[in-house]
Amino acid sequence: MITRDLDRIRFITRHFNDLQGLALWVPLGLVTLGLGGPTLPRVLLLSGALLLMLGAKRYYRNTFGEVELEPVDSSAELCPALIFSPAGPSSRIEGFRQVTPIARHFLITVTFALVLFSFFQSIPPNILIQGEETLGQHPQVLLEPAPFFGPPLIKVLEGGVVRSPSMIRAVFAQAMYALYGSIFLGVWLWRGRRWSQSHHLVLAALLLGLSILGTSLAYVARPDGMIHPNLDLVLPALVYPGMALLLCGSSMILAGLLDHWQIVRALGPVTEEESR
Amino acid sequence: MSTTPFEQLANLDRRVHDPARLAILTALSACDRADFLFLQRITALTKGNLSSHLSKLEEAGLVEIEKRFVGKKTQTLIRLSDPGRQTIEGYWNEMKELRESAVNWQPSLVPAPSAG
Repeated sequence: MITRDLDRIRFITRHFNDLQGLALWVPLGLVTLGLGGPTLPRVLLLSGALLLMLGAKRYYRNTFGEVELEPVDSSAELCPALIFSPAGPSSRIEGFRQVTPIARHFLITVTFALVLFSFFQSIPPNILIQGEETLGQHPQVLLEPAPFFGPPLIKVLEGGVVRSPSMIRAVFAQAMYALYGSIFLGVWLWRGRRWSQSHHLVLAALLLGLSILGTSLAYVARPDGMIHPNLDLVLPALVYPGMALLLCGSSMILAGLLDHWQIVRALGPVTEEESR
Repeated sequence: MSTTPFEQLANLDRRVHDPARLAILTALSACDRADFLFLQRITALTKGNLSSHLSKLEEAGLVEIEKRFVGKKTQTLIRLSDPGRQTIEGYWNEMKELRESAVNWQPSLVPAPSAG
């Protein structure tokens, strides 16, 4: 008998449910792709995602079996604040809902990324983006000479500094990168920073890098609209929300396929006898 | 510690130390319960082999086996019992100690066998 690596056995068992890429990440990627498209493709992608989610769950159950994870025992965990209590350490108050480890990782990384993103968005000078995504025009970044008229809500959110609609769309695109990048980073941290999970780290670095690059556009923009050729090449991805959704959705699909491949590789191919 | 790494190795729990059973118990220790198909996949054992090992583990009181119907099919769910969880944790602690004592072990510390 070939005894598989025990650490890998433990990891695959613990993460069997969330490694089911076809049932989780790929449908989420399809939903993300659908958000940016016209109505018909959007409906098709959303229904495709739903069907895939249901079908994939059945496929994983019939092909690889089922694993039930232990519920989070909130009462067994010590409350850090009470360790220094005169009465000694005590467990959490009964009934207090504690977040699961995955939710904790996501909350920490997503909040951290979005706070940093908002902070850095508020520093640079305002810019104006010329070009229309729906017409397939290449964007051009210009330093905004004067405050632009914008909706009152944005005015309040930006602390009195009004941003142009084109810039708001660009901020949305960069926020998508920050959000999805931090989700990938959270998954990588939660799965124990393993080498086998490095695709999540690579995708996190790519998306967070795009977010940072987009946020710092105001520093490289010149009044005449000229920009470094390499940056000009990726400019549509930095400022157009449709491109951002396409990249984020594709990244999720890619991550899902790689997770699925890991399960298939770890749990072996289906033999004729088993599939009968 | 008075025992040598070799003596410690000989004292390891044989019910757990077998590679196939160790793989089964390791998988079960990482979850609440798993079904037969998953255990078969993760351990790469044949159905007969896995059944045999599970029977031995059940006899030893290390696992609990439950059968239920899902539609028209029977599903076998396996869970680590409380003694089973303690046993596998104890085994890992013993292995850790064994590793440490093997690293620090020196042949000169072993008393030479008396002649005749």
